[in-house]
Amino acid sequence: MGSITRKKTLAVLALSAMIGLLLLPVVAAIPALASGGEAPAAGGPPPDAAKKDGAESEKKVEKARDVYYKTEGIVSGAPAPKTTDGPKDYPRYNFESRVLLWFANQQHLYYGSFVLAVPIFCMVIEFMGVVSKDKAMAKKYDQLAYDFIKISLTAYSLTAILGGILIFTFLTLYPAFFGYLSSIFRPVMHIYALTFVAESGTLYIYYYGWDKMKEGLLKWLHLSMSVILNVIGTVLMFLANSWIGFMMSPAGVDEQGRYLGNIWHVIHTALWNPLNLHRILGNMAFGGGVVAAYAAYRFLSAKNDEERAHYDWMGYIAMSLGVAFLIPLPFAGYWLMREVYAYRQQMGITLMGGLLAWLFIIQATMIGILFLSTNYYLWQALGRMRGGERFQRYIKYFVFILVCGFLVFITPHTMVMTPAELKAMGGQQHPVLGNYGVMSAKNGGINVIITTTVLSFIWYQRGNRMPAVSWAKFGNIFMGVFFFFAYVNIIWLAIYGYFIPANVRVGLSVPQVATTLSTLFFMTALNLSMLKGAKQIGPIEWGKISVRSQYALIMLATAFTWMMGLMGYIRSSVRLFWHVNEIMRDNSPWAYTHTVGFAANMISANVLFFWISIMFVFWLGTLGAKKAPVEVKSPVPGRAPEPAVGH
Amino acid sequence: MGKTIMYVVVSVVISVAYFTLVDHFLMDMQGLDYWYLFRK
Amino acid sequence: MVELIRAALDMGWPVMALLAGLLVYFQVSIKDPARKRQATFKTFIGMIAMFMLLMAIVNYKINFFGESRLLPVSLVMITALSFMMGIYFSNIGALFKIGGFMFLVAAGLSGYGNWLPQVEGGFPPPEVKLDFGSMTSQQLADEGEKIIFGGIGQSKVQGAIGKGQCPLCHGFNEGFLSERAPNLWGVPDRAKTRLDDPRYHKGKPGDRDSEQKEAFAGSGTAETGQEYIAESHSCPSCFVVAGFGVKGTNDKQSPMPAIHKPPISLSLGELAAVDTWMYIREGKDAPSFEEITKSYEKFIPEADRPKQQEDKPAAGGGALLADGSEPVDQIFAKAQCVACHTIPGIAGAVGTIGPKLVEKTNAPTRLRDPGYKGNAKSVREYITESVISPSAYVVKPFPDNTMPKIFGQKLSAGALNKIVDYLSQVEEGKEPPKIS
Repeated sequence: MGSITRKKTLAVLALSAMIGLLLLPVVAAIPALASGGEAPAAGGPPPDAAKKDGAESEKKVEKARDVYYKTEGIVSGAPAPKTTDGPKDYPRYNFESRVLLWFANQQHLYYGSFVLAVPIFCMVIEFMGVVSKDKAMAKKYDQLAYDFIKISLTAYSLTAILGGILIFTFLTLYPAFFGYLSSIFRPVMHIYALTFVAESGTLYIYYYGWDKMKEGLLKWLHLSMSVILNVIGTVLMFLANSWIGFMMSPAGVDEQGRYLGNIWHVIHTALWNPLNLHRILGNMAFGGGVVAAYAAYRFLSAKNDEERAHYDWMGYIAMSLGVAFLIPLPFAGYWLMREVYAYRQQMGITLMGGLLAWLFIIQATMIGILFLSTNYYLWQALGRMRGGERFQRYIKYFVFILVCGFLVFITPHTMVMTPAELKAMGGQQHPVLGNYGVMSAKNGGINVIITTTVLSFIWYQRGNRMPAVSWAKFGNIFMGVFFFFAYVNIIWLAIYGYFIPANVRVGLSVPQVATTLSTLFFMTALNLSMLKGAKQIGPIEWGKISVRSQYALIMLATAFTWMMGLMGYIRSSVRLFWHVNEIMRDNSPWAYTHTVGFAANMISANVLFFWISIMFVFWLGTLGAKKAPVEVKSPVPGRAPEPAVGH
Repeated sequence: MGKTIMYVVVSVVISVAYFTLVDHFLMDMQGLDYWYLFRK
Repeated sequence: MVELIRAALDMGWPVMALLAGLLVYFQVSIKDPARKRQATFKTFIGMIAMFMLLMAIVNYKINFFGESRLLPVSLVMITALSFMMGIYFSNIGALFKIGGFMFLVAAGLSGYGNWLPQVEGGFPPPEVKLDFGSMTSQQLADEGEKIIFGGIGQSKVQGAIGKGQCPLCHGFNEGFLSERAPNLWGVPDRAKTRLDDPRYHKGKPGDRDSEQKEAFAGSGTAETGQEYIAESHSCPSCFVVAGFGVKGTNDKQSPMPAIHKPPISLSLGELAAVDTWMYIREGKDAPSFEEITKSYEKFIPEADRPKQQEDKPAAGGGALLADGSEPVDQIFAKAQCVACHTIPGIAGAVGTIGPKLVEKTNAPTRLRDPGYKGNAKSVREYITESVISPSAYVVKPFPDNTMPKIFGQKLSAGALNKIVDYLSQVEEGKEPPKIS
């Protein structure tokens, strides 16, 4: 007994030492950062402090004003280079450089998001396993989490390789731009690299320690390691986000793009935090989609019932997690858009009502598709429960409601038009359709869709169970009435919007959204409490789900991927002809914005390349546990600087 | 039967009151008047 | 189609040859007739699929940058071949079916994207760091023409207008109608004679009866022709040519905005370019750049001189007067509506060249007017029509063809929408609506 305890203690010590060692360089790097430039808390330093700082140093240092924070700082960097079209600033292959970079970036991003999202799932699922009282269930959860991390491990090395390819593509095709960006971010570059190393190390200990650390205290330690892993991963992503944040809404530099010595300003730009939140949620939804597709693939290729049951269950869990993060995503998107408008109204208009407006129409369609697929999956999933049949006949009404909501949601309001078209239509709005495409109606549409999804989910939860609590009757009636009035309220607010002036109307979306969220939270909670000790009509027969449902999962996954590509494209192209918005101009021959069709084709190509390659990763995963995982290289693999070619 | 009617009535009252409060206060929070049309 | 097939074979003949070889090999090596037939069949299917894949790839390659929007066809082809393979190769059928389905989804989305109207953001205007000081007079004059008319050679084009927006009111060519402001043909010569106009009070600004007597306290009046031009640009109300003042002020106030101030905000260099063009186009020798800037410095105090602006034009619409992102009062100012119209609630909109814009009151009566021949049915439509085609209905007693007919091209749809929104709410005798 004593030896085991000692062993455990030793293991704990060894582990802490390792993690400590991994994090040491990062910690050590931070003071260096602080001396290189003050990194004060959010909100920026008080201007007088900055001024005093300047006064102390010699008189001859040049000072300039931050473009965003408006504080004064000592110029400590070169201005953004003025590029000219030619092989010096824009060397190229016989192809559009931007498309190559687009491809490299998107692939790295797909894999990166996947690799960052899966450990979060692992954490959640492992935790569920640890706290589960049911031994068999606990083991099942644990196995699932292990399966997840196994998939992500191969993807992890691919992410690193793609990161390397991305850097090389940048260096070969956009040397001036990349040079400028890395000069701005120099103070945190090594932190980025070290965080990456720490992430790799933790991931490996986490993965290989799984079997060794499966009991008692060690299990908790293992679980806490997943937390550390996710913290490191999130920091890594935040740092990566600061680059794109800087490109869209630069700060910490003066008008000529000269670095002003405060790296926190450079990182903490106007759009950084909204982007961070949006990306975390997006990654989770995306990760859920990928894992669900993996499960669907294994389900469809399963040879026996046992396998089918396992992968049906896995697909269900992954889908639920993905959708759980999909629901708050539009609100995060709303915040991001609001910040965009606050930062530059022009940018917001380009997005929502100008050049890129059609892409948002596609996005609206895709959101509708995502919710329709989710609903379809849930309805199909009723089929694997005995007792689910009693809900089947209502589904057609659901479809009707969903389709109505969808049609309202995708009706466009104002469009970019040529003056001739404008004249033909007698105004910017279509004489008939224009009335339906206004925001208050659209919000009504999407909220109806989400509320219906909530209702589907509640029915799904009840599929094989009958509430047995004493107040079940009241509960049912209350739930019915509450949903009814939720619909009434949403639709009423949508109609009411037509009768009041625009400045009052914009506020209506908030109670509308609150109504939807009320049904989500209250009704799910009510349902769960009603189902406590519920009468089982029959067991959930995992694996009995229809084959079609699995295609719904694949649809979800593909649509997630596509939408991610689309939104990424929108976010990136809103800068129009700026490398760094209003600081560094894009003078390459590709500074124009492509047509919607070209973008759609490009996104499709990216999506398909990602799926073909990740299918390969899945396939590698099925080769069995005997195969040792691929060695992870440092972020810069020794490959010839050949840009990735995907076509 | 009487019980059912009572349940329905109670539910309706709670739901309507709840959503009205949501509408009113969430508009109020933004400094807007939910009852705009009716006061006009 | 034939070309496509040829290109596909061109690219993929080794693979096809390999498959054909495989076919022959199976014929020879497999003895069991049932298995032989199956192998032959599968290879055949494989060949068809391969061929379709090659065609899809070739189609993708050919149309990648093309306008034909046929790329999704490739995806559909791949979908079809994936399902075909999925059916006959059952061991990896799941993979093929899933792949096929994904291709189908992507094809649908791609197709949707291609079906929507295609808008391409044009190239950004080239970044020109203009150094007016070091230009030759001709270069300077070209820049001036660009500022006035929007492009070199545009001075002859009806309705051409640049960021200076001068042609909104001024005529520039000999004999052109110019009701709102003096025709500027011959100004280099005429400027000198203006100095002797008794109302000008050369050297004695205090004697002037105009609303503003000097550009700024102590600036004095112009002494030379060039200084007169500079003064007119920077202090239009210092001296108003008879008949061109704001109506009812007896030529004491000018409807023209000071050009170095917002919304037009030309820098001294740009003003010099404009002036140079005025001399050069009449074949006259222009004063040097330094002389011109000096003449402006006399009337524009240091603090008021706009910095040389870096061009940050709106997306794709370099020549727009307003792109709709501005608050509505700025749109009115930028489009120069305020110069001719009185608009309640808009600062500075006191023009009297056109009708007062109280459209919630006016538009319904105009629409009922038997003389109304336009197509509008509602207030909003009436306003839109009046902006885009002013001659559809001309309010009495104002003359036709006074209002420029360029706003359909020069205002973005968003800007026009804001204008219509605002004007449709303006009511006679009521509080003006809020500016949004």
